[in-house]
This record gives sequence, C-alpha cells and structure tokens, in this order.
Amino acid sequence: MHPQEYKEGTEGLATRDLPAPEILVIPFQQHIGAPANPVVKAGDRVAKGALLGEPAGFISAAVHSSVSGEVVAVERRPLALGRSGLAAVIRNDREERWADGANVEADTSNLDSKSIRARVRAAGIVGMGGAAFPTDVKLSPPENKPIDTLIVNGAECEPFLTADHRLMLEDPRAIVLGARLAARAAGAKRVVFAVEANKPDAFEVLKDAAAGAENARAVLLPTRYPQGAEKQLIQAVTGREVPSGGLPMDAGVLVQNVATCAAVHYAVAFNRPLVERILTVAGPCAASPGNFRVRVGTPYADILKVVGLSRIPTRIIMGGPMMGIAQKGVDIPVTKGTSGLLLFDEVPADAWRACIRCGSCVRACPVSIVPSELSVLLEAERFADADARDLFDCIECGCCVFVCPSNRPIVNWIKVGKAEITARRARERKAAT
Amino acid sequence: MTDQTPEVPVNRLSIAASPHVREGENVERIMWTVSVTLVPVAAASLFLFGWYAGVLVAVSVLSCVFFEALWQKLAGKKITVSDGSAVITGLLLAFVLPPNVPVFVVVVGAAASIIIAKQIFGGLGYNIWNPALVGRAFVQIAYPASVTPSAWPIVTGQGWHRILQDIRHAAPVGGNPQAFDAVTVATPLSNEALSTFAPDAAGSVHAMYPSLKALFLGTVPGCIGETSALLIIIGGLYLMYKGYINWKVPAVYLGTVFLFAFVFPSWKVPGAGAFSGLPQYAVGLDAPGRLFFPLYQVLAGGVVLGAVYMATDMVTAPMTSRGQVIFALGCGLITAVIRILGHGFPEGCCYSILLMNTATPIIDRYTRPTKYGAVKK
Repeated sequence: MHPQEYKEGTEGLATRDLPAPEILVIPFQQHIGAPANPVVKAGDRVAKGALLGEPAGFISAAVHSSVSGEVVAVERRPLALGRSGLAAVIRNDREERWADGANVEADTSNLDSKSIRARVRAAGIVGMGGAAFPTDVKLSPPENKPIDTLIVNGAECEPFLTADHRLMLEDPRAIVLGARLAARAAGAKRVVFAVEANKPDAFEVLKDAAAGAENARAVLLPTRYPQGAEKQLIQAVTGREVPSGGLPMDAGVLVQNVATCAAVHYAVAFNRPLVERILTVAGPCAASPGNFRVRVGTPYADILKVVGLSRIPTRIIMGGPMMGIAQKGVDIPVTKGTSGLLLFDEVPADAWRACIRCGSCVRACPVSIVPSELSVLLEAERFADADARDLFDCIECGCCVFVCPSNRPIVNWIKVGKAEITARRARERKAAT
Repeated sequence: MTDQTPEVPVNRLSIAASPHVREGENVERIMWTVSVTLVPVAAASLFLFGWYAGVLVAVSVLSCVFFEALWQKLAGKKITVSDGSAVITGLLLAFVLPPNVPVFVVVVGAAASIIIAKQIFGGLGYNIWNPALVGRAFVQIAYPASVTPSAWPIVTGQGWHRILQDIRHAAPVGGNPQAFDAVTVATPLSNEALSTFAPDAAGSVHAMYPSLKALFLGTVPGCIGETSALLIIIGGLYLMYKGYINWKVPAVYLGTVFLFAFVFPSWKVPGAGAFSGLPQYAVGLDAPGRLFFPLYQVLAGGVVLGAVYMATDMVTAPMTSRGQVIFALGCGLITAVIRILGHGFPEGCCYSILLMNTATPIIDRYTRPTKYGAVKK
C-alpha cells in the first residue's frame, strides 16, 4: 500500500533544538509495562538526568528529569494515550546542570552483555518508534530463543514523519555504535540496517557508517506501508515470519528503531539517560514544520509556540497519520515514544456504512487476515467469534480503514475487541484461581 | 519563531481512532461509476430495439429507486437511494428482460429485486443474491410468456432515424410494443437457431445464424442490454482499470463456457422438446465449426453481461481473488450445463450466478488468505 507520503516538507530541513520550556510534565509511564515508582516529591531539587522514577518490575522503565530544576508537584496529568497518569511537574532553572556521573564518557570496549543491559535499563531506554517497549527487556532473550539478527529499523513508513530520516543523516555514527552494543547485548551475530527506498541518502550514509564493521550491512527496502512494522520488516529483511501470537525472538530476530539505537549508544558510552528525542512537527496547520530535538516532558503548547500555526487545527495527532493517536489537548507532554506531532484541520468523516464486501481491505492487509469479516463480527459485538478469526493477529496498521469505501472504523472496533477479550481472559484467570 | 502562544481551540479538537487519513474511495463513487459504464449499453438498446426499450430501462431504474426509498421510509431507515446501487439494479434488471416485455412486468421485477432480494436482508451489503437477477428469476416464473416470448423484436440496421420514426408512430406506453414494425425472430440460443449447427453429410456447418460479428456488436435479438458484447466489454475494461472488478472473473467465466462448448459441441433437435434424451454431439464438425460453436456460446445470450457485471458484484461474490476464480468457474460450468446439456432453458446465466451467490459464504470460508505467521510456532 502506498499512502501519499507528505515527507517533502520536513525531510530536507536540519533538526532544530527546541528550547527547554519553563515547566515540564514528565509522566512516570511513558512505556509499555508497569509505571515507574516515583522517587522524588514536591520541593525536591533535581539535576538534568536525575532519576525521577525507578522501574517497578521487569517490564518497566526508569524515568529521568530532562532539565535541572525543582519538582513542583507529583500529580495526575492528562497524557497522550487519553487517560491521565502520574507525572512529575518540574520548573526549569535553566542551569542545564547534569546529575553526578551522567553525560560522562565511559569505556565500552570490554562491557559484557549483562552490563550493557544494566546501563540501558538505568538510562530508561524504551523503543522510540512509538511502541515504547522497554529496550533492556528486548535485549534479554531467554536462552531457548537465541537471536541471530538485529534489524535496525530505519523504514519510517508513516506519512509525514521524517525524524528518523534526519537522525540517520545527522548522527549515523551513534546509530551504528548503538546497534553494535545492542547486538552484543542480545547475542546477535549480524546487524542489518533497513531503510526504505524513499530515503536513498540515509541509506548511503548508514552504509558508509556501517562499512568496515563485521557482519553489518545496510539494505534498501521497497517503499510501502507498513514496511516499518516489526513483523513486515522481519519478513522483508530475513524472509522469516514471526509465528502467530509470537514475538520477533521466535523468529530469531531483534528489531530496534534507529533512534533507540542512538539512545543506547549515548546511554552506554556517555551514561546519558533518555531525556530528549527528535520528533517531526508537520501537517497542514504547521506554520514552520520541521524536526525538533525536544526534551521529554515538553507540553505540546510549548512546541506550537515555536512552530506556529498557519491554520487552526481540528485534530492533533501524536505519531503518524496511520497509527497515531488523536490528542485531547495541548497541555499533554512529549514522551520517549513521541515520534511526531501532526496538526490537521481536515479529518475523515465519522459516518460509516455497511460493508459492501469489496475486498479492498483483504487485499490491503499486510498480515493477510480478513478485516471485513472482523468488522462485521465486532460491529455485532461477537467478540469470541472475532477472536477465533485472527483478531489478535491484527497489527492495527490502519491499511483496511485507509482503503475502505464504506469508511468503517475497523481498527477502532479491533482495539475494543482486543480489550474486551483481554479483560474476559483476565476474569477467567481470576475465577480459575 | 512567534512570541504569542497560538490559540488552539482545545474543546473543538476532534478525537477518533487511527488512521487519520483515507485513500478517498467511497461506495457512492463505485456505484455511480458502474452505473455510468452501463449508459452506453442502455443507449445502444434504443438503437437496436427501439424507443420502447428505453422506456423499459427508465421504468426499471425509477421503480428500483422508488421501491428502495419507499421501503426505507416505511422501515424508518435512512434513505440511501443516492448511493447509486438501486440505479445499477434498475439498469441491470432491464438489461436482462426482453425488449417487448410489458411495463408492469418490469415494475414487479423491480419490487422483487429491491424488496425481496435486497432490503429484506438489510439493504446494500447484506443481500445474498444479486438483486437484478432475483428480479429476473421472479418474473420469469411469474410471467413466463412475457419474459420468454415467442417472438423477439429487433430494429435492423436502420439507425437513429428509425428510432425517431418509431417514437412518432408507435403505440402509447403500455400498448402492444410489437405494434411497431420490428423484425421478430428467434434468439441465438433458441433451439431453432442452434439446430442450424447440424453438420451436413460433408461434415461442414452451414446456415450459421447469426454471425459472430453480429453477436459481438449486438445486432441480434435478445434481452435489452445483453446483446452487445463490445459495449459491455468496454465498460468492463474501464471497471478493471479502476480496480472495481477482477479481470479473472469474466476471463474464467467465459473461458469455462468456451472450453465446455469446445469439448461438448452439441445442438438441440428442433421440435424434440424437453427431456427427450441427450442432445446430439457434433462429432462430425470440421475445424472451423469446432471453434465457431464455443465462440458462439460465449457471445450469444447474456453470459458476457453476466460475467462482466453480475458475477463481479462485490456484495454477492467472494472477496478474495482465489474465491472469485472458483466462483467464476462454477458460474461457467452451470451456465454451460444448463445451455448445452439441459433441455429446459436455452440460457443458464441467471441461475448459474444465483446458485453461485448461494455458495459465496462457503467459498469465502475455504479461500481465506493464509495469515502472516500461520507457520509453526
């Protein structure tokens, strides 16, 4: 599938530093898994890179302050996923004072996989492509599932987004070094840098940066959506399929986004926690669209001040237009997983009609399930039947809705269906114990 | 950089699930595009069969739209006639009826199409059978003499001035359409026509009727919109270009009819009537005859219209390409069996598609794509 790309407005512009705002809102849950446990309270003074919350369990991630300043409050704030969550509100003292030991170059030559993982965990690294899964967990495959290949994901297949593209052009060395560390940690023997054909410049740069490294190569993949989705990327690069219900490690593969790799490099080689990221601000309402290096915790309003509005947006999307999440306000902060902020004033109509069985969604589906059938079952709230027809194989890429002539909200129904089935299973487990 | 905080009307921000962009295709555009490709066929019917054919097409379209609106009004539903689907049904229903059928038969057929076949099941998208074909099957049984007339009109080769002349002199609507001066002959698939395939002692076919060229252009007797393979194929090619229909469906459907007729070339014995024994096989056909008969079977009757516009109906045919091929194969086989081996009906296209519509759910079930990751765990 080839949605219009709209990348030309930002892909040629160098990344700009967005000034750190006066007040930052740093959520304790920016990742998949348990929210971090706060270790600060209102009134505490914190340095840049200081720990605000520590991981609460194996699948969790540390959270750090992205500026030096004072903790004004630890309270619930509206967040990007639609619900509110606990966050540290920090007043920036503009001193940019790093915490002790943070942002100091460290020797990486003799690190074993365990210490690499420890540094990655301490730095609070999570997947920066959007899913925000704790990276140290992905780097710790169980012994019975060895990983032979690390795929570094530079596909960036979502329309509008060019943040990864700019990073590949501007800091390829960090990506390559970070990938090497990640491969060492996971025990992967080879590294493949995967770039979509619409970014030939990024491909050349990464190829040169990877040259000389053993068992590393760059591949140029056809431009198509969703090329950057983990399962599709694994298939395109290795020819393997992740078994239904399984994880990439079941196919012997680890996938890391390019920005995550760069963050791993800075975490391990410089003891630098993940406190900033590059994101694309674009869309028809952005007066000066571009890519910005933004502190984690920066409210959208502070970004809009810099970018400016050429028109009044009626929808603000966190992420790309295919999988991103519509935002309810501009007081919501940027997190580690925020790859883009899109300002739209034209959005698809809500009205939908019956499925006419045209089969467009079946042809468009990258995981080859039958979205039309799921949509009819889920519309009728036949959750168990939908579960039996590959509900959980859906990767929610949005291709089916994109092509649907009846404008059916298939992905929405699928999300609801998955939540319902998951809740039922949890109830059943509870009843069984 | 601006100093002022831009105003974002936060309470007007719209929330919806992803994706936030669309390709832009919609049901209305699909339906109206299909309708427009049928307009040349409707126009040609005036040229071929006279102005009364145009009246029937108009009555059929208006009746279908009327019954759809009426049903939706009475059922308290949203009136959706502007989606164009009732217009397609109206066009196709008229196209599969003879050009001298009484007006009331068309109205009854439209009611059967829209109310029985479509709205009772829930409207567009929920119907199991092709509405136009249900309408045709209904009136074929209800009014057999009108739908399978003994004589078929045709305006032969005299062009538009003849149509205008007819309009000036013809009987009023509802009168006897045969009053205007058309040549009435047998249809290409009638026993009379097919019997001319009997090879003579020397083994060559003679008195072929009508020519393949006439069948291709449509200047033969038949239902209103079924005769011109040329115009139907042009419309079909455009729909393939738009991606609305799968080229494999007409290809496999017509190919199956062709192959079946090639393997079992046969002609009906005139006057033998139904169930009088197996048809005779043209074992003695010479080579041109062997090729002529299957081509004749493909071009004669309604099978080109059915293969391009009805077996490709999104709602009532399978969704995957594989399923559509099986569907088309089934349509071709049933059509050929009814036509060539059967004795009752000269044409099997309508029933073949209705029967395969019935099989669509089971075809869909067994032709599901192999999902990603279906391999061993």
